[in-house]
Amino acid sequence: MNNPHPLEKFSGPMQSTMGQAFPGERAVFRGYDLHQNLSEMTWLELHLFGITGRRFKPNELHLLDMIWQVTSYPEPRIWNNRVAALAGSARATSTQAFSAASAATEAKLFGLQVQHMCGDFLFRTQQRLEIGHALNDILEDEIKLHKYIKGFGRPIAADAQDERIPAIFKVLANQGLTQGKYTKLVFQVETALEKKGLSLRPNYAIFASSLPMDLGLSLKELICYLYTVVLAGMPPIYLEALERPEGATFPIKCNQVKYSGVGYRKWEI
Amino acid sequence: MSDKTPIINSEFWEELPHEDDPYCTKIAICSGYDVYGDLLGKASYFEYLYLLFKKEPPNKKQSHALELIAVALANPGPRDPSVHAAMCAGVGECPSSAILYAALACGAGSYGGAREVYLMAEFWQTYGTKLNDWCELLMHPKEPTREEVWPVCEHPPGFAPYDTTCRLPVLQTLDHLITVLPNGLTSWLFENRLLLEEAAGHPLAMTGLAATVLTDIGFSPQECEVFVLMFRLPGAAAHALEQQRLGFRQFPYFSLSLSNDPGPLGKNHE
Repeated sequence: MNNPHPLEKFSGPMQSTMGQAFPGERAVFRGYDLHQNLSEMTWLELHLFGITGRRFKPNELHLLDMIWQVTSYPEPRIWNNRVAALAGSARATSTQAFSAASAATEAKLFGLQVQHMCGDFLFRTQQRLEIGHALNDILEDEIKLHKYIKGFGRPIAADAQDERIPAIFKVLANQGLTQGKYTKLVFQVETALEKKGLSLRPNYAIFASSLPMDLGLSLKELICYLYTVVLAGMPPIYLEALERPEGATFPIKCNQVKYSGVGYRKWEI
Repeated sequence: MSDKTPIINSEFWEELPHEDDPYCTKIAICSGYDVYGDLLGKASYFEYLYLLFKKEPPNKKQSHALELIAVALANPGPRDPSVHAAMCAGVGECPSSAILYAALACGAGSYGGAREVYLMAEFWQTYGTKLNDWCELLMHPKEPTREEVWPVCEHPPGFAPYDTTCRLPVLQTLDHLITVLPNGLTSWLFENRLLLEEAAGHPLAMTGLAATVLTDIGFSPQECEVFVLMFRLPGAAAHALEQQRLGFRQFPYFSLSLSNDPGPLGKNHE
């Protein structure tokens, strides 16, 4: 081997600026003593400091807390929540329940992949607007390229306003916060879509991306912050499933599995 | 609220109940075969696996190739991130499912994991055996039209970013597989490997071989992805249980160098 292996320089002590535990003594969190310097932070404040390295003001934290709160539905039928319910029914541990249910929140039809697509759309659109592209052209390109504009419309309640949005905007106003460029862009897109004859209301997901991005979160940071977005709804579901007899949450009879495959045959391979 | 009886639709699975218990399966049918009354004892594990996904039994070559790649993938070894992660869960004496969760998560990505297999399997679907298209793609990867939730793959999927030549286990596995699949994508890969490696700037990796073989025997990119996730679990579990038995004092903790340590007295923030 003539040249040193590219991984060789990483094989010694791991270089980090994020933190270290000194058991029996102290712990460092992004350059600060966790117990001496950061002990007055709430968990959410510390979580956001961990993600971004920045401090957020109390009114900003209130808004970010509300974005989580308004979509924490202890509704056991929703697919990711149902995982927590079934874990309870199967008598798995609570950590197993919430880990698996959180993983099932990284969905393309709802949840974290949608949040990511919304944030990505807003980020790319804003970038193009800033270099002089017309919004109409950007939207046409987006539809051509990705078929639809994520974050607008809600198939499960197409005619109704998303019930989560007024609660978020109430906090925004009450906390003296104003809409930033990404949230303003959401309303510009809604108007532009209306002019195209597409009456698609902005949904929760687009605002749950735009508002944190207005507070300076990058796309990667946004998804780290949103990881726990629906977590609060899961423990009640799991605990209630434990209160039922084992296997009694979503019991399914054999005849509720409807088979439409090939006819009966013998294995003769 | 709908009171309609919820129905799970399936094109491959049916459960006939015991006469006295609608919740208890008497006969399970997989794509027409009575699983416990006929298939069990006749079908091999890999024939059954294939049947579950493809709804038809495999031919001998397909099931043999599936078994070969499953053996090749079964233990990536304790240095692999997925196995290392499983050992972390194991040595801490977590529930066994945490061992497998850890292995799944750290074996899911685009560096040596199932995402890498998915991405290369997508190339197979798009480019088939068009060598020029493959070379063009590997030399000039297409820019994605949008950022995905997955971190960007930092090397041509299916090729080993840090290796200088194709490694012996990959070549040995490929040698076995072309004897089983002499006419399809796997043999095309065997014939064109050096040209593809030159275009990619990296040698073929086990992920690339897995994507090829699984596509060759008829699996979609997402099926390739889940098979690789499943097939890598046995080694992760074995290593995790071994480390649990050996105990945490023998498990490496590594060293860390913190460049912004405020020291024992902390520091005033703000």
